[in-house]
Formats: sequence, structure tokens, C-alpha cells
Amino acid sequence: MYIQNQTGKTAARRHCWAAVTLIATVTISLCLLFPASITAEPSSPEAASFTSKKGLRLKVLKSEHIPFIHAQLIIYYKEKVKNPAVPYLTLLNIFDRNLKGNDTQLLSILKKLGNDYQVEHRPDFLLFKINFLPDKLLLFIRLLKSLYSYKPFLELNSSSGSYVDEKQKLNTQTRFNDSITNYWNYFFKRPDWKTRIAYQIAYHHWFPSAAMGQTLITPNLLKDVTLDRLRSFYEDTYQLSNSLLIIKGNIEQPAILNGHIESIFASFKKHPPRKLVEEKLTPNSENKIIVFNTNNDDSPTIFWFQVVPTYNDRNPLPSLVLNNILFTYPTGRLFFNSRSYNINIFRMDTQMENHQGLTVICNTIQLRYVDIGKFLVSVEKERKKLRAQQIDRREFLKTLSNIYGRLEVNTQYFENDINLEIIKAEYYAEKVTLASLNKKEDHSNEEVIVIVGNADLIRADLGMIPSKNIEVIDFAR
Amino acid sequence: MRRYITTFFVVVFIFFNLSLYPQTTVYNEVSSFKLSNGLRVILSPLDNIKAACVLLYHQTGVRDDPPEIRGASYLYQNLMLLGTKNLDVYDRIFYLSRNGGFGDRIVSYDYSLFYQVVPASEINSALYLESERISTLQRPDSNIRSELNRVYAKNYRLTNSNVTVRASIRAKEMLFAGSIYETPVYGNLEEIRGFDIQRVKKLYDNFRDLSHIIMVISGEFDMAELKKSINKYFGILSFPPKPAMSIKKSDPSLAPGKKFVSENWLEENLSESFILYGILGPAKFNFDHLYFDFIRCYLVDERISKLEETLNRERNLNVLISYESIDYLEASALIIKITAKRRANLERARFFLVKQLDAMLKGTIPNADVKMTKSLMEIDFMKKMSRLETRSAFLAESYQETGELNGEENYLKRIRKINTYDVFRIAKTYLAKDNRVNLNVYPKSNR
Repeated sequence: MYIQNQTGKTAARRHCWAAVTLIATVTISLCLLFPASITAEPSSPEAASFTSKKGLRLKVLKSEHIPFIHAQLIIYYKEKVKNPAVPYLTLLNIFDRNLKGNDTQLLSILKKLGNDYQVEHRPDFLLFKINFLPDKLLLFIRLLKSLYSYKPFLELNSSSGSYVDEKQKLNTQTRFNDSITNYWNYFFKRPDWKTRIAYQIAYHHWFPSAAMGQTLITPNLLKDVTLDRLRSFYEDTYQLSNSLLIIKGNIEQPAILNGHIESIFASFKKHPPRKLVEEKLTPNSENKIIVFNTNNDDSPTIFWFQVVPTYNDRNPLPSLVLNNILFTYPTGRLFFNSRSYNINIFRMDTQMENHQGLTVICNTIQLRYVDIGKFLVSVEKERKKLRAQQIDRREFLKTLSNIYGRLEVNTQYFENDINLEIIKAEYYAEKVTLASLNKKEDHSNEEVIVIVGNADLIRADLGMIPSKNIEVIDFAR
Repeated sequence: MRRYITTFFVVVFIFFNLSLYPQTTVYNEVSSFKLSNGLRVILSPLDNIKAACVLLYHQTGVRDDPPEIRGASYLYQNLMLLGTKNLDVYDRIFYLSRNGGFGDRIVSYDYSLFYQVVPASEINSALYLESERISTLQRPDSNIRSELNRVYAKNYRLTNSNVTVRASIRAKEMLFAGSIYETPVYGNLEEIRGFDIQRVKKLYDNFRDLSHIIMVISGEFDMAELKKSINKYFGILSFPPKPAMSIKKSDPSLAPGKKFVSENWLEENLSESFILYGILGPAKFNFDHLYFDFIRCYLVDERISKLEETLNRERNLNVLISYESIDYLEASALIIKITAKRRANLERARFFLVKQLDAMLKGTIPNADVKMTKSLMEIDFMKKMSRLETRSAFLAESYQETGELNGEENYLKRIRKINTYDVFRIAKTYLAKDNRVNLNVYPKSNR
């Protein structure tokens, strides 16, 4: 017994040394073979960009100050869709955790990552945002794999007949049916549904025949959607060569992350990079008021959209200065003079988006029903004043200072640099002069006003506006 | 040999992962000092941003008001925007707007907060504004009177027109019965307009007692320059100290249990019936609070909500679940609201809600759910700490209550240590039937 033990121990020791030597040798060899994957530093230590062999563009923003990882994935929509409900329902079926049916593999991974994600359907791309803990980075890469090889869609037409496959197909169908039947329930549960529907309406009004304008989803359009159409849209759009992934966090070796992504997608088919459709966008010049009826008494929200040509290579600043002289809360002319118009404004906010030579500015205003008419009149009057009088230097500098100050203050938000990257906004102060702002031609904009609220109450307050200028959208919720 | 190969791959796997990200979370060093006049200052530098936050945490709130004018401190939320010796009314707002910054103020039962987030280059102006606010605020009688009327009118309108607000006030009244939190923070609506103006005016002294203020400055700044500025604007201030605030660490009326109350309301013109379930929890800085927070997150956070899964996904009841989380220094609470178009669905939702709470009393939370909830809590806390104003408020509160400057690291460590046993222990104490209150609100005609 003793001898056997001794022999066993010696043998184990020998094997142990062999194993250590093997590990050391192979590790060193790996380091020598692939030095780039371990030591490569990006040209700038703060940001590293890669394009994977399969076409996925990856940007890593290194930040030591956020202890979690924030990632945004953008999948660009490539061509005009006949039915705008298709792209939206596709993402709803993939990402919505509230749809009836069992969790898919993708939803299970999202749960393990902490479920802190959101998906936005923009007119020209899908934006998926997620936050997770650094030790789950590899799980996140698995999530990407699961997204780009989404089995519930890809295996819809497989005919293996196995129990598991049939169960999955049934689950996919259940989720799809629920997404159609309860579409509006889910939509109105979203905290930002008013903003989303307002954007849909505005883009639809401006660009009715362009891909960018295929946004407004109506109950009739929902009836035409089939699961097969979602699958075909998914196959055509959710491709690596069509995507941009931006990851921000304390990632010391972005090259290794890229290596992981390369290896996990190694078996994927490479799609040729397709050119994005570069349509020349000419907005519909008819200025209109569109009311989206909510059939309840909740306070109304006005979305005041302007579309303006971007100046000097995407510099939106001049347009923004002109807009903010009126709409800045609480020091813009509109809020400042609201008392003299006897209006009670609860809140105003300004957002901006850039698209192919156009900038869309959206001012959101919250007020009472009885103030809507007065507010529209006040904007008209203040605009006239702005056109008739020159903008004085003090007001110009004050507005410019507000915009720049806000850009600095926004640096505290972890999403800030990624958001700027996505909207491709660049601000060149030297290109904005008081003289250029005071040129009259710069004041003409295409506008659409979307009011979300009770149509009867809104119409009652807009009696002075000809009814042909007001359109009511009512889905009879 | 197979074993060695497996070991090899495990080692290589770990090696590659270790090099992907650092294992520790890094928060910049936080430091503190005290001025000779008693003002405590916490400095939390961050060098990767171009903004800074100046926050003043006043260790005073509505609880320090004399009983006859309880709620009067709340008026200072807006009164603090009035003019000072050197500034005009609302100059603070105009200054913030001109510089693209923002600010806010909260006067609660236990404390008060005033903050500004501004571009880093504007930090001296922000300090100046704050020093003016706590030293020479002008409080004309007319402004106090109009603020009293405004608070009265706003809350009268809200409570009379909005049944949800009224129900929420009633639920809090039942949950916190016998404690300071029983009455709304603005006081008794019937008494507000009768407040003695001179006594309201005098409450300003509570806000400028420097020994009961913690100033937190976070963001980008030059440490030496900032210290000079703090001395310049605050070192010269001196006001007579006030007696310490009256926090009772163990108010018997807020002990768990013996709370069960159920009420039915019939309301005219109510479009949808709803029920409110209130659950009383431990004090904010109590060791158990974190686990109570876990339970709240697990039950109602829309990203992982167990109730959403049980009531809507599994039972298809099509109800709307919303909630209110309350955190006071002496107690916390969770108020769940369930709204349904169909009364039958509401009743079923109530049944399954109670069943879910009872199941948690028996400790049936799956391990996977515990892990997911912990991850989410950790991410949420980190996100909260990435915002200057919430980080500053957390640092002030944690320093005040626990004396810790590195409260963030400790809080994260505690989240990571949450286990099913602790959650079960807290569920047993706080989810028990005699610790819940229930309010059912139905339309009058349907009954």
C-alpha cells in the first residue's frame, strides 16, 4: 500500500511538471505566433477601430471611469420597405421580453447580462443599447452570435420534424401572434411612445415617397405582416457587414476583444458590403398640424419639428442657435414671454437628429389644452419679430454659450460620446456668425407640428386655424 | 492526459479573459475637510469630463419644523430661488441656463439638497451662488405668502382631481401611521394657508447652520484652486448653530408588523379600477435595506419584474403594473399599483400578487433570478454613480449616516454578497401579511 502510494505521488508529480511545461510552452508559442493579439495598441489609447473579416465595424472607446460596459449596436436599414411595420415587428419579436411565449436563447442571455437594455427603431437604423458588468463581456459576444444567427427565424422553414424544433416554431408563432394582437398595448406601455409616434408622423409627412418616410405604422399595415416577411427582412438586414458596434468601458486590450469577435463569427457567411441607399431627401414643404388622438384627458404634448439643411458639412449649429433663441427653456423668448401671452408652459426640451444633409430639430412642449392655440400664436408672433428685427449680439452670445455649456455638461453622461458619434454632429463655432444668422433666407424652415392628446379638446382650442391645415390621426384605441 | 489538456485550455481561457478587463472597479479618491466655521466639504475629482457639480446637503428638513407649521420648510424649495443681497430673483436659473447647466432642489422630511451641474470652468460662479443662497437670501412676506398659496392651490387641485395621487397619500398615511412621514411633506392642506409668516421666515436659520451642511463637489477641478475658492466664499460665513435634528433611529410606529389595513374606495367617473399594495420596509441606512431593495427590484422593476411575468406573461391578465419606491432615513416602503380595464382581471391579479408575496415568504426565489437581480442592481448603482448629482448626493448621505467616504465601494461589495438566505430572511420580516396595507379603488357605478 505504502509503495503504491509513493509511486502514485511520484507519477503525479511527474505528470504535473509535464503539464506545467506543456502549458508554458504552448502559451509562449501562442504569444510568439500572435503577438498582435496581445500587445497591439491602437493608434489612440482612447479609441480603437477594427473591421472584422465578416464586415462588422467595431469601435472600442476606452474609459477607466465607468466600471461597467456600455455597448451600442447599430444595424442599418438598407432599402425602402413597403410596410414600415416589418422592421419594427422584427425587432419587437427578437428583443421584447414581455411577449407571450417562452424565452428564446437570446432573451435568456440578455437576462444573464442583467436585462438592462433598450432597442430603438429609428427611420434609417436600429439601435440596441445595453449595459452589463465587465466579467460578462464574453457572454455579450455570445449574445451577438445569437442575434446574427437568430434560430427562431432562421429555422422556421427547416423540416427536421424533431420535437424541439416544432416546439421552437410554435413558440416563435406564439410570440409573433402576440406582437400583432397586442401591438398597441405594448406600444402604449412604452414610456416614450408619444415621442416615437410623433417622430413616425413627422417623417412620414416630410418624406412620403422616400425610405426615410416609411415610418408610420397603422392598424391596417399590421394586418399585412406575416412571420415569413419578418424572417426575410431579418435575413436581409441583420448582417454583420451592415452593423456598427461601439463598446465603451475599461477594456484594456481592445484587440483581444476584436479577436474574440473574429473567432465567434469565423463560421459565418460573409455578405458583400452593400451601399446604403443615398437618397436625396426633399422634405414636403406643406407646413401642417397633425393631431394624434389619445381619447383621454392626459395633458397634451406638442412636438414642434423643423427640418433644415445642414450647413457646412453637417454643422447644425446655426439652425440650432436660431431655434434655441425661441425655444430654450426657461430663458428662450417663448418661455420668457409666455406670461404676456397668458400661457402656462410646464416644460420644453430640444432634440436634434442628422440625416443625409438634413437636420431634424424637435422641440417638445408640455402645456395645458387651453394654452395650445395661444402657444401657436405666440410662436408665430415671436417668429415675425425675429425676422423683422436683427438678433442682438447679447442674445446671440447667450444662446451660443448655452449650447456650448450644455455640450460640456453632457460629458458627464457615459453615453455622450457614443451619441455624438451616432448622430455625427460636429459643432464649429467659428462658422456661426451673427451676420449669417441675420440673413433672412436662413429663417425659412419646413415645419410640422404634431400634437399628441385628446383631439376634441385640441380642436376646440384651435378654432381659429382653418380645418384643412389640421389633420387628425385616430387609431381608435 | 485529457485532464491536462482541459486544464491547459482553462488556464489559457482565464489568461485571455483577465487581459480583457481589470478586475477591480476604480473610483477616484474622495477626500474631505472641515472649515473652521463647521462646514464639512467632500471633494470627489473626476478628470475625464468637463463638468462639475456643487451640491449642498442640509441636514435639516420638514421634521425640524415646529408642529404648528409642519411642512413650512418645504416652501424653501422655491423660496431659495429668490433674490439675495447681490442677486436678483431667479438669477440662479438664468445663470444656469446661460451656461448650459442644470440644477435642482429637494426639501424632504429628513434632509434638503440643492445642487448645480455646470461646465467645469464655471465652478467658482456656482460656489458664489450657493454662498449667497445660504447667507443673504431675501424673503419678503409677499413672496412667502404667494408661495404658501401656490403650494396650497397646486396640491388642492392635484388631490381633488387625481384619484391616484389621493390614493397614494392615503396609502402612505396607513403605512407610516404615527410617524413624521404620516402627513404629506408640504404639511396639512387645511393648515398651510394659516402658517405664521414670521415663523416660516425664521426657518431659514436651519438651512444656514454650517455645522449641519455637507458640501460635495464632484467633477473636474484643480484641487488647490478649488480649496482657495471654497475658503473665499464659505470660510468667511458664520451663523449661530441650531440644535441637532430629531431623527429617532427606532420609531416604534415604524417597526414591521401590525400594519395590516384594507380599505375600499368607490369613485365617481373612474375609468379603470386599481388596487394599491403598500409594504413597509427598513430605514434607508439600515443593514437590511439593501435586501428590501433587492425584493423591490425583483418584484417590480420593469426590466426583470416577477409580477409582470406572473400576471401578464403567464396569466395573460393584461394589467398595468406601476410602483413607487420610498426611502426615508427612518423607514422605506414599496407601493405597488395594479390597474386593469376588466374588474375580473384585477381581482385575479390581486390573488396572484398575494400568492407571489406568500411564495417569497417561503423562500422560493430561483438562484438564476437572484443572480440576475444582483447584476441589475450593480449596474444600476454604477450608472447612478456615473452622474455627478446622484453621486454627490450619495456621498453626502453616506458620509452623514455612516461616516464613510468610500461608500460606493462598500455598497457595491454588499450588493455582490447578497444571497438567497438574506433575501428570505428579509422577505419573512417585511412581506408578511401584517406588514402590508391595501387600498382598492373601484368605479361607483360598477359596484
